[in-house]
Amino acid sequence: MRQIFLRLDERIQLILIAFLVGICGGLASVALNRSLEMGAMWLHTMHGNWYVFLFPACGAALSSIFLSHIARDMGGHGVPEVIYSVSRRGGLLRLRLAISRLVACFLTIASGGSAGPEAPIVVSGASIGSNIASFFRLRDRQRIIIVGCGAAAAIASIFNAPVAGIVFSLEAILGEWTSTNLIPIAVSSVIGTEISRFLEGNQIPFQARVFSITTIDIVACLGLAVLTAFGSVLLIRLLKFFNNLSERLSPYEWIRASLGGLFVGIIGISFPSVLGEGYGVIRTVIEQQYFQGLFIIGVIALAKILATSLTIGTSRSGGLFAPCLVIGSLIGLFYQRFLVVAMPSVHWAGESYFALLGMAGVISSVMQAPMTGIFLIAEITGSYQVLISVVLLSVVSALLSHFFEPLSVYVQQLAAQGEWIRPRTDRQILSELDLTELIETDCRIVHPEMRLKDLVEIVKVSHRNYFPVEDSKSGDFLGIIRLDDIRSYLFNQYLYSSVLVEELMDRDIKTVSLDDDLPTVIEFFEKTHSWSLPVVQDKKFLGLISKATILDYYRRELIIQEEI
Amino acid sequence: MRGDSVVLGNKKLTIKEVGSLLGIPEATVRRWIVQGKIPAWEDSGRYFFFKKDIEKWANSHNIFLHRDFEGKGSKTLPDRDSLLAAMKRGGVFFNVQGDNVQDVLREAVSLVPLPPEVDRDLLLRMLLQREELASTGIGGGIAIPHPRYPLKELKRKEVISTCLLNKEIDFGSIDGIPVFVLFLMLSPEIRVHLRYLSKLSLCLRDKSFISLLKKCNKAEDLFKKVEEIEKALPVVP
Repeated sequence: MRQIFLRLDERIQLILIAFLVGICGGLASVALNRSLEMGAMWLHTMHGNWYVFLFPACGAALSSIFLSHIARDMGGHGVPEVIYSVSRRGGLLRLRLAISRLVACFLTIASGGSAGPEAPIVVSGASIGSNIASFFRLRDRQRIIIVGCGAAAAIASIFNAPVAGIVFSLEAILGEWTSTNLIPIAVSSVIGTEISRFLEGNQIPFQARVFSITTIDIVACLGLAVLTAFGSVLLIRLLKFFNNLSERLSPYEWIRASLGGLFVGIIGISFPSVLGEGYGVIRTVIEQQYFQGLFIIGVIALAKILATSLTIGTSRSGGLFAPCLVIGSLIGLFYQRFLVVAMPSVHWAGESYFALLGMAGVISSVMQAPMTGIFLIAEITGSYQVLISVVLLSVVSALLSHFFEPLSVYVQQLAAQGEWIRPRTDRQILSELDLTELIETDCRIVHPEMRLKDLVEIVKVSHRNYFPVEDSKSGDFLGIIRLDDIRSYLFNQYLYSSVLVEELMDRDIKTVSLDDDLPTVIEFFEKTHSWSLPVVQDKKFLGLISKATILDYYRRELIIQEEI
Repeated sequence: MRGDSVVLGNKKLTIKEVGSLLGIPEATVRRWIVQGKIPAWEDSGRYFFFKKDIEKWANSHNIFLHRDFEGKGSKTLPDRDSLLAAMKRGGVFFNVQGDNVQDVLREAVSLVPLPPEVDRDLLLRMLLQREELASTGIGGGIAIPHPRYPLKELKRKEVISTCLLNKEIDFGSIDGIPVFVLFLMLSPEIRVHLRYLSKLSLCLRDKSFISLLKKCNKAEDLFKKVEEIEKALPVVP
C-alpha cells in the first residue's frame, strides 16, 4: 500500500493524506464535543448544591495530575506547541498529545473551568496529522503542511466552519499562504466539516437573525473596535500576569491549577455564566435573550476575562477560542446597551449584530489573526450580510491591540524564548544553516616559532588569506595571521629570518564556537568588521567561517525554498 | 520503492555524490533530505537519489551542477604532466639559423611540432607582435618567446621547443647579452603558461643547466638534466 502511495506525485500524496487527516480530525472533534455535552448534563444535575464552587478546582487539579503523571505531558495551552513544532521541529508532534489534551481539556471544562475545547482539538488534530505524515514517511516540509491540515480539520469540524478552518491554519499555525499549503488544507478542512455534519447535523452554531444595517451602525463599529481591543489587551496581560504569578507561587502544577480553579469557582458563585466554555452564553446573546442591564453585562465581561486568564494562566490546559467568543459577545452587547442609552433616538441594528462584531474583534485581536476572526464569525453565525462591518471591525481592532501587544497570544511565549521564527524570513534561513556545514577546513596551520621565511613558503601554496596559529606542542589555538596585515613584510627579504610568526599574529581575535547559532555569528561579523572568523572549540582550531560562504549558502537556501 | 530495479539511464546516486554534484557538504544534503527539500529515496535506512530527479530538481531551481564530479577533480589544472614532457613534446633543435629576431622566430615556428589546425603564419605574427611589446629575452643569453594569447588548438598540451641558435643574436634583452637559446612556449591556457614559465625559470636558475645548454649537442642529456632539476623542485599544488 505504502509502496504504491510513495510512487505518486507529491501533490496527490498530500491531498490523499489531507483527506485521511480530515476524517480523523473531524472524528476527534465530534468525540470531544459529545463528551463535553455529557459532562455538562451531568454537572447540571448537581446545580444548586453548595459545593459546586469547588468543582473547577477539582477539575483543574485532576487535569493537571492527569497530564503530568499519567500522560507525562508538560501541558501548555496547545496552539503554541503546534506553532513551535511547525517552526522549529519540522512539524513533529507526539501521538500521545492527541488523546491526553482531549482528556485534560474535558476535565477542565466539564468541571466549570473557563476555557475552550478548540485549542486541545487543534493540538489533537495537528498531532494526528503529524503522525500520519510520519507514517507515510513524509519529510519536514510536507509534514508541516499536514500538521496544518489537522488543525484546519479540527477548527472546521468543531465550528462547522470550513473556511475559518483553512484561514486559521494558514494565518495562525503555518503563517504563510502558498498554493502548496492551501490545497491540502482546504481538502482536509472540507472533509472535517463533512464528518461533523454527518454525525452532528448541519447546524449553524450561533444562528443570528437577519437584521437591517444602516451606515450609522457601521460607523458605530469603530467605537466597538476600541472596546474589543481593550478587552483583548486586558485578557492577554492578565494571562501573562497569572502565568508568572502561579509559577512563583508553587512548584507543583496541580496546586497552582487548583488554586486557579478555586478562584474561578468563587467567581462562578456570583456569575455562573462565566463557567465552562460558554457556548450557551453566546447562543443566548445572539438570540437576543440575554436580559441583564448595561452595568451587569460589563461586570460579567470583566469577570469572564478574569476567569479565563485564571483558568488558562494557571492550569494551562484549554483553549482561548470559546472564551474569546464569549467575551466578544458580551462586549458587543454591552456596547449596544450603551448606545441605546446614549442615543435612544437612533434605531440600532440590534443586539446580535453588535455581539457578533464583538466576537470577531476579540478573536482578531487576541490571535492577531483578523482573517480568522472575519471568516469564523461569518460562518458560525451564518450572517454574511454583516461582512462589511465584520471586516472593518476585525481589522481596526487587530490594529489597535497591535500597538500594545504586537504578538498574538500564541507566539508570545515562544518569542520571549527566541523560539518563534516566521517562515521565509532571514532568521528562519539562518537558523536552519548549521555552522558545521559552513566551516572551511582547508587552512594551512602555522606555528608561533616559524620564521617569516617559512610563512612565505606557506603563503605561496595556500589559497586563503588567513593562517591560524597553533601551539606546536599542545595544538591549542593561539591567534591568526591575516595576509592583509603582513603584506608589507612579505617581500622584504631582510626580515625573512629575523621575524617570527609569533610577532606577526593577532592574538585577541574574536572566535566563534560550534555552539553559536548563525545569527550570533553574523552579529560578530558585524561588530568586528571582519570577513572571516576562526571557529575554536575547547581551544582547538576547527576551521574558518567566512561571510562569503554564508552568503553563498544563504542564497542557495533561498533558491531551494522557492515553490515551483 | 521504485529504486530496486535500476531504470535505464537513471543512475542512483549516494549522498556523497549528490554533495559533490551540487558542490555542497554532505551535512547540507542530509538536512535537505530531512526537510524534504530535495527529492530523495530511502532503502532500509539508507538514502539515495536518482540522477534524473536531481537534474530536474536542480534545473527547476536554477542550481548549477558540477558536471565532472565523477572523480576527475574539476578544480585542478590540466597539469598532469611535467615540464620534461612539455619539452619532449616540443623537441630540441640545434643550429637554428637566422641573423635577427624575425628570422630565428620564423625558423623556430617552422620547426616546432604542432597539430595541423594551427596556422603557423599567424603564430609567427603573434610572436613578433609580442616581441614588439617587450622583449622576451630574460637575460643571461636566454629568450622565452611566446604569443600573447593561448593557442586553444593545443588541447591542454603545453609545448616547449628548445632552439639552440647557430650564432648569438641581439634580442633586446634587459641585460643586453646576446641570446644563444630560445625556449618557444606555446600554451593552451594562460594559467598553464604561467605555471610552466615558473618551472622553466627555476630550471634556468641552475648554473649547471646553463653550462649544459651552452655545450649541449644531444637532446637526451638535456632531458636528463631537466628531469633531475624538476625532481628537486617543491611540489606546487
